[in-house]
Amino acid sequence: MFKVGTEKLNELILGIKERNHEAFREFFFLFQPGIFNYLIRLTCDKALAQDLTQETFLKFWLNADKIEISSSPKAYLYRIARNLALNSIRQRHNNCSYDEDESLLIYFSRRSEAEIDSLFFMDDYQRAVNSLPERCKTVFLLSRFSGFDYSEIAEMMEISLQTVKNQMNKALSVLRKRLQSHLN
Amino acid sequence: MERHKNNFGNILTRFPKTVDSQFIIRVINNEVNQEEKEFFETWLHESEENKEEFGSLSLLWDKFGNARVPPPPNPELHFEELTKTINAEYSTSKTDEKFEQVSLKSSLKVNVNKTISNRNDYGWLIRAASIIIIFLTLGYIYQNRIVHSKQEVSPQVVEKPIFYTVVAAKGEKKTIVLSDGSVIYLNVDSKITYPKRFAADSREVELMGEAYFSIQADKIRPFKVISGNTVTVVTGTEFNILNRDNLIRIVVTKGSVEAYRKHSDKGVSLKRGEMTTFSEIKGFTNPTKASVDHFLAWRRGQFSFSHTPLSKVMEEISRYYNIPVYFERPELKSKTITGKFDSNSLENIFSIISLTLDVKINHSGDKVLIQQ
Repeated sequence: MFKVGTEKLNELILGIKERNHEAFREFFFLFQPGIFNYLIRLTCDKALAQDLTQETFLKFWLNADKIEISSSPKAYLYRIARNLALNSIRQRHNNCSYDEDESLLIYFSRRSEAEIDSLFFMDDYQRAVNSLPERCKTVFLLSRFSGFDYSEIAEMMEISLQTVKNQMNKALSVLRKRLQSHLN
Repeated sequence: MERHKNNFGNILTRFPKTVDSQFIIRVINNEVNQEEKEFFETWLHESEENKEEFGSLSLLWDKFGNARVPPPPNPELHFEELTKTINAEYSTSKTDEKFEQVSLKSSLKVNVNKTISNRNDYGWLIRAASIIIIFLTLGYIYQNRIVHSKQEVSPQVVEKPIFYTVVAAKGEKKTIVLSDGSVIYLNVDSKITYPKRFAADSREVELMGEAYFSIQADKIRPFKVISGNTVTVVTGTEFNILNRDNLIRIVVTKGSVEAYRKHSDKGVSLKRGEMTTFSEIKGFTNPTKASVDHFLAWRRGQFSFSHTPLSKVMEEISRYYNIPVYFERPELKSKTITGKFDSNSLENIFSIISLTLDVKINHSGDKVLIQQ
């Protein structure tokens, strides 16, 4: 997990706001692996994650003038990524409305096994994370893999700090139950 | 008095009433302040149960670190695609906003400069990233040249693509990583030909012998394996192709593939766990369930035989060890063998075969003689 220095990040953001291509390029190289990683865990679809990663950066570039340095640009980037992922999942089965709290497993159950397995290697850990309701899953992913602290997660998801804590407790208790056999 | 009150309020909002899972994770992530740390340590030493609780959560947290996900796509190519999208986005509105393809020389220079000027706390990261960027840029130079030559040079001038051929001789296996990140595991006595850079709309390779393919997903550029008179088309998946002695066999281990006869649209679709064989006369067989374990034994360093005639068994062994095998009497060739053998011990295999088939295997020097 790497943390980019705030000073450096601000410099890049200022550059991007001034439409500096080189700054945007560098910004992309710094965050592309993290965003891809986040999206693939969120969607379990490699090709989709790849497309959405691009779309995330595209949106960031197009909306750069709205970014405020004082808020966290990284959180903003991850927020774009999550919204895109949720939208695309909703679109994919627009007939059966996608409830935010519905388990992603139900979403996956509508796809053929071969389809899912071709997307990428699913291990017990990924399966366990998938069994979490969306909000719970996102909180867990952001905390475990994206290096955000709870208050950043709260800001990013526009929920209260207490909700983040509750979701985290919920995620951990489900994961522990599901992965019990791996923890002995 | 005022200060005391503030402190108290602070503690109330920050501290949980008890140490719960989310709090422990904050401790593991080192997101707690000194007071919280002390609060946690007191809790930890209160009971054995608490220690167990902490231990099991840290283990859980830690285990997720090993969970496998596919690597991110090549950032250079990924960024290039993005700039194309951005340009497309702008071409309809503001042409002056167009995202320039960063010229190679300048991009190299910029990165090198950065390497030198970074001496702050995250310097190592930027340095590592810059080095990666430089390497990627070197790859990009070549690719760019092809793209540019296609776009800018007059249509008569066609850049001659460069092809590589990799041969795994008898007794050696090879692993090849292609420019798109796909991996090909070449079995012994096999040959693969691939371009240094893939075309913009497809990825084509040609195979003789046997190989296992693990292909990076890319919907825009389908991956094609040409082998004998067959073409196998995939977008991102894993499969094995064997092409020996006029028989071609395709086994799919992940995702799905389409296989066609060359210059024809006659073909079959295979899903995970299915196989087909192709012969010039009969074409493709209908997909059937494949014993993946059996057909991919070579990837695990094993031989797997199922009612296999001794002649075939010895052919295989001869390929792996690069030793000629002779039969004293032709009728010995038709005895059959079933079983799995580790391919690292030739003598072991020979002793099992000679015991089960009641034959003598005379392995002397650089050849093998099979006798009654």
